[in-house]
Amino acid sequence: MNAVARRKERLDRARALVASLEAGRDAEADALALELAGADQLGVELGRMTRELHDALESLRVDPRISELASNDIPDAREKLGWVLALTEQAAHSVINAVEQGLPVASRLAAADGDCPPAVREDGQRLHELLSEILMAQSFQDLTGQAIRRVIEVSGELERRLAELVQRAGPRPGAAPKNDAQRPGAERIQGQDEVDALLSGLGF
Amino acid sequence: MRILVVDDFSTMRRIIKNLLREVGFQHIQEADDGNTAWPMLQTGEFDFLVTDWNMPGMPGIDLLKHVRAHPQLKTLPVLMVTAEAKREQIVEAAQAGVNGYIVKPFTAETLREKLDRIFARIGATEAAS
Repeated sequence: MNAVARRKERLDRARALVASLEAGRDAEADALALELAGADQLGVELGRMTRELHDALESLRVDPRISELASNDIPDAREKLGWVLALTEQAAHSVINAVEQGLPVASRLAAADGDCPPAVREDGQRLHELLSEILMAQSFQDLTGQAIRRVIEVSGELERRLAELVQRAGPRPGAAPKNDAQRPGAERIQGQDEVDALLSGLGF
Repeated sequence: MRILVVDDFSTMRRIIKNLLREVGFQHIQEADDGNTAWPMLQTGEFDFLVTDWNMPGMPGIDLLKHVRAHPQLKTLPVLMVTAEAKREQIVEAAQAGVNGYIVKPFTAETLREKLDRIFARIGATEAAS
């Protein structure tokens, strides 16, 4: 429907509204008034949404931060979470190693023969209980690990969707995104040995 | 009594193994998901299965269903130890024929209690038959 036809239709409705008001047909007048106002509001709302969508797409196209998030920051955050997962797992295993060595010692103390003072047996029993508690507490690694894996998964999905969106919104003007990990000096040093080697190479 | 412990987290497998040893079970093997566990179970070498629910590959609930559908394994006692605590999941596990269900984090006492209950029931069923 073109603009002329639309204007004519609204004018017809307005005339009908005046006629029904003059005739005292209030219900009909109310319905016509709502129709007129509604049609108008819908048009305004559609216009606003179109503008917002346009602005959003435009800002995606021009905002290099969005594609930097997709290509750099999110993968980096995921890598860090993976590192947390590995480190907590390692720590939990170290604790379990110690507990596995400690439990038989505690059991031996708890079952010591009659020559030992009773306090030794009691201490052995208590030590056994405490070591069991430490063992059970390591289950945090499973629970937090599952949560971290889920966050890694979700952020991977987010990263893919953002990358698609950036691709669809068109090429970004300006410089290519800098990859922090590829920046000279930005790679992670693995362990104290590498730190020492680096420092000694620098004459320390 | 030979037991298979299935969990994708090696820390949790070690915790459960240690607890089972404390209760007196010595022959314990591990698998990291249902796909690894299933061929091990089919050898018929296990008398008891302890499994997690949420694992990559084959989850615990599918492993349980496989076990219940297998002519030689259908009566194998299965204990589920999982962080999944939604009512519908517990109902699903019960309907699939689980013998016990423990929600993580759990205590050594809870594990002992559930094991006692499972074996008491099996004992009662065998005595009745």
